[in-house]
Amino acid sequence: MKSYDITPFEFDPDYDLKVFKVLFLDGTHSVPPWKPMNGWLWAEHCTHGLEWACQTLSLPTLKGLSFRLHNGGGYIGIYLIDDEEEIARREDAFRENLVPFLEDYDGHWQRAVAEMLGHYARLKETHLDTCSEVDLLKNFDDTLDVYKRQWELHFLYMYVVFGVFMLFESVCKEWLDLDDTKPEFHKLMSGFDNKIFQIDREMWQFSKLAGELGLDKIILESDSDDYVEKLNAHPNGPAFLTKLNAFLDVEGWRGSGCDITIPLWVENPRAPLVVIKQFLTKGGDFSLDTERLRLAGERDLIEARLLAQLDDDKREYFQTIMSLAQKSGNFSEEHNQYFDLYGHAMVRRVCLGVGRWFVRQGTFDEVEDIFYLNPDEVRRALLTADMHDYRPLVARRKAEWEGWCQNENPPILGDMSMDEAMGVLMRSNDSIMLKVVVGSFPVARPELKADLYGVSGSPGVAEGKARLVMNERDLNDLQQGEILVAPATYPSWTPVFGMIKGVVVDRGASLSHAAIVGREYGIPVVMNVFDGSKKIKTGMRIRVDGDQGVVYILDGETA
Amino acid sequence: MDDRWLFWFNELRGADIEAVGKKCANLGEMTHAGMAVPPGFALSLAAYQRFMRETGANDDIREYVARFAPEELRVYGVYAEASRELRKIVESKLMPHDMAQLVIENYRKLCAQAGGKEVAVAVRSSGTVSAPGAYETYLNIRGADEVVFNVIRVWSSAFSVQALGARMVKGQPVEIPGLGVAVLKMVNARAAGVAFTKHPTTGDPNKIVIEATWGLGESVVGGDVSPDRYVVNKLTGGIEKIINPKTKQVVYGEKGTEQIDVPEELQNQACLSDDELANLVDLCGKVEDYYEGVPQDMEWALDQDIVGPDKLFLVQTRNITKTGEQKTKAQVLADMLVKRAYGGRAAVRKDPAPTSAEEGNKADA
Repeated sequence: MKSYDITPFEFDPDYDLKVFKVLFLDGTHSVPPWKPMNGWLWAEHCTHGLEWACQTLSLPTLKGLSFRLHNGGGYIGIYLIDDEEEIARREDAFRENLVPFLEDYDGHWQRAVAEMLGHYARLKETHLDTCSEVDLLKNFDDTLDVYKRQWELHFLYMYVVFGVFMLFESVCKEWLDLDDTKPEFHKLMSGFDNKIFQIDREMWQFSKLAGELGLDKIILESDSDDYVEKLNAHPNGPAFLTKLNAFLDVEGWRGSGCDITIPLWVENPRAPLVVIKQFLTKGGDFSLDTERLRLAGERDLIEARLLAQLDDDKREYFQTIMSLAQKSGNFSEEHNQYFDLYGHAMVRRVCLGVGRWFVRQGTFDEVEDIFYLNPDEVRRALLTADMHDYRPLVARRKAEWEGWCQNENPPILGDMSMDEAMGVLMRSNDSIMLKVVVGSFPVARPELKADLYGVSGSPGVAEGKARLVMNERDLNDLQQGEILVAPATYPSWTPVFGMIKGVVVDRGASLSHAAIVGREYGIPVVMNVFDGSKKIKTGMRIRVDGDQGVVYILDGETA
Repeated sequence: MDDRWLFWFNELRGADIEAVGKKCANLGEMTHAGMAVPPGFALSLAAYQRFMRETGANDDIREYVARFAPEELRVYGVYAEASRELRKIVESKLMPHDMAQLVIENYRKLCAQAGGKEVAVAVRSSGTVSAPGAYETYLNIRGADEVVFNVIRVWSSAFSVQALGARMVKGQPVEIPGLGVAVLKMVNARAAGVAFTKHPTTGDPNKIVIEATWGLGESVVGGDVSPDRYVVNKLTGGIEKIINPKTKQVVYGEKGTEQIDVPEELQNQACLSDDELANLVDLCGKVEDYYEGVPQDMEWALDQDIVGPDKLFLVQTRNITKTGEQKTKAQVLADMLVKRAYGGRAAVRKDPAPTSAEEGNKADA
């Protein structure tokens, strides 16, 4: 019997297309396809978080975004509200619900962060390899509850912040004829410090320390797999690693992205050591500081000029809206650290703990086989683990997943052309769908004669050698002055932005990670080109035009 | 009030709530205060009681209800079905002849006042207790027979799903003591819009902000047209005006409303003449004073059937804030956010739910 292979969020064409008409692939998060545990947890809890936020805030036109799983792809259906009276009622409630956040955004945000850090600390109190199976199961369930809570807060703040951002865009356009096609607009949002950059700075400081301790050569010359071994062989190595690990215990609860199958920094310092290597390669000062100060200076000048253009009525309001909107860039980065990355890190932690338990009990053979199960299967077997043999189940799921990975999931599900689907997306007017997950589909502008058409994320033009980075390992090979080309970029990649000339990503929109960090570093970013990682190979010379949002392949020769 | 059950608004005052319901009593009070509400007449609760008794509707209703145990009717599916049946019962009855004649006679008087043609009226419910959205209102009703029929439909809305459901859920009786009806002339709007007697975004109490467009007020309320905009300084009398291109307007159709194009020659023309603007500003002052200085959010319309200052009508007004204190900056920002990021419907213009004391301040017309 295979009924438990069907998740509660499985895509059902007969039912779901009646409800939604069209569903959109979440290309930012489910490409490549999710493994079963990942997909199940995301579909259930992310959907919940969205619906919870929509009802808690009383978003006027949206009841939620709902995930369906199809061949490991996460597809989003939009629950729009049609009834004018209901919308009007929700608007009244929404306005009231917004007021506390607009009055004291920082206070609310700090309390939310404190709440989550408290949850994570509590979960870590259980030592997964020495506790009883009863406590292990409890920690599994508690972790999923915390994960669910993370998604609730995540979307609550996201909708508030994006709403403010859209308000800002609206007044910029109406009062100052300024919009996001103009570099000035992006400059208003740049030059801010945040937690992510603070972590980058710490990594840079470690690179300096490595130099002082004579460890730099080892790091520069070893393969990433050998770092720890080689460092331990050096007299200063162990002390350095101890310091690094202590730092990672606090700040290393992050993987590359929101994928629980990707190793965390805290598990193995290999990933952060790659980052340290990048800083060593680049040398010099922590460029982000100088860059940030320069950007902040430019921003101050632009702010002053714009405020002077406004009359009294509007000036104070613009100032307040602008500073709230500026927090949105900050939020986009910081929420990664405290919510997404940390939450997923905690889920990975307990999954691996359970995986190790199952291996010890003989339920299956490899710790990472846990990712081929779903949570109900864990609950079913955990307390009686030695009585279960999940090998056939794991084998079947693994084969299925490997099959999914061979085929590309379509961008939409539904009997509709891409144009029509875009229309549905636009009509939803949903900030998350439009700004982060799906973005505007690239519009070909033949008059530009470009090779790839996308959307501008950060202004400027740069030419250089392309480096295709499909995963964190590839990041290791990135050289100074190259142009990063990737399916998407992840928060833990921020340090490399200091070394490169530009970025091209397949997926993204103006409030997604690559755009925000690109602006901070002052390098051009073109996003949502869809086929960048297919058409561009490492070694090709390309030109990234962040002003137009296009990419030119200057010569196809790979070096 | 003795045997009478039909009264013109100018015969009514606020104290008549028990007899004719809140809306009618308010319309009476506002007419008396010289505020330009549309003309019309009210049917009292006694009219409802007489109709329900004499036609046998009450008996039929009681017979239907007797089939159920009280707890059964508390269930949504059951009372939704009951609502349909009870409304059918009421709407199947004919108004007693003399009642129908009186309604028709007074409708004809209303037409005569408006120059003789068959006017369109709104037939609105007027309960004694606030129940927003519970009972029905029927707009754009023309012709004597239609008016009579729609009065009955308003009476039957005493058993609407929402109204009946609210009573069932609270364990109250199926029947209600009565429901008033207001029959008032719809403004045949040449132009319409909104007026805030204090600045809606900055909260400046010394400014009046007026928006105007061609046709009915729906386009401005809905937020899809760029209306003409006037900001009037109460202290200096200074006027800033921005005339915007108005390409669409909402007008009455055969039934209900429809959106049509504005003739080219009118698109860039101001909807309000200087006199009409002055008249409107005057009305703003009167309305605000009437509500003890509490700033008002008003809907107004200019009737094309009427010449001179009397063409200006107040369609609706409500308090902008509960106590007249300025909205906090955060509240204003919330308004702006909803309006701009979510295409706010009447977002900026609606208050948080008013208390029942305030319900009386609403004069729906």
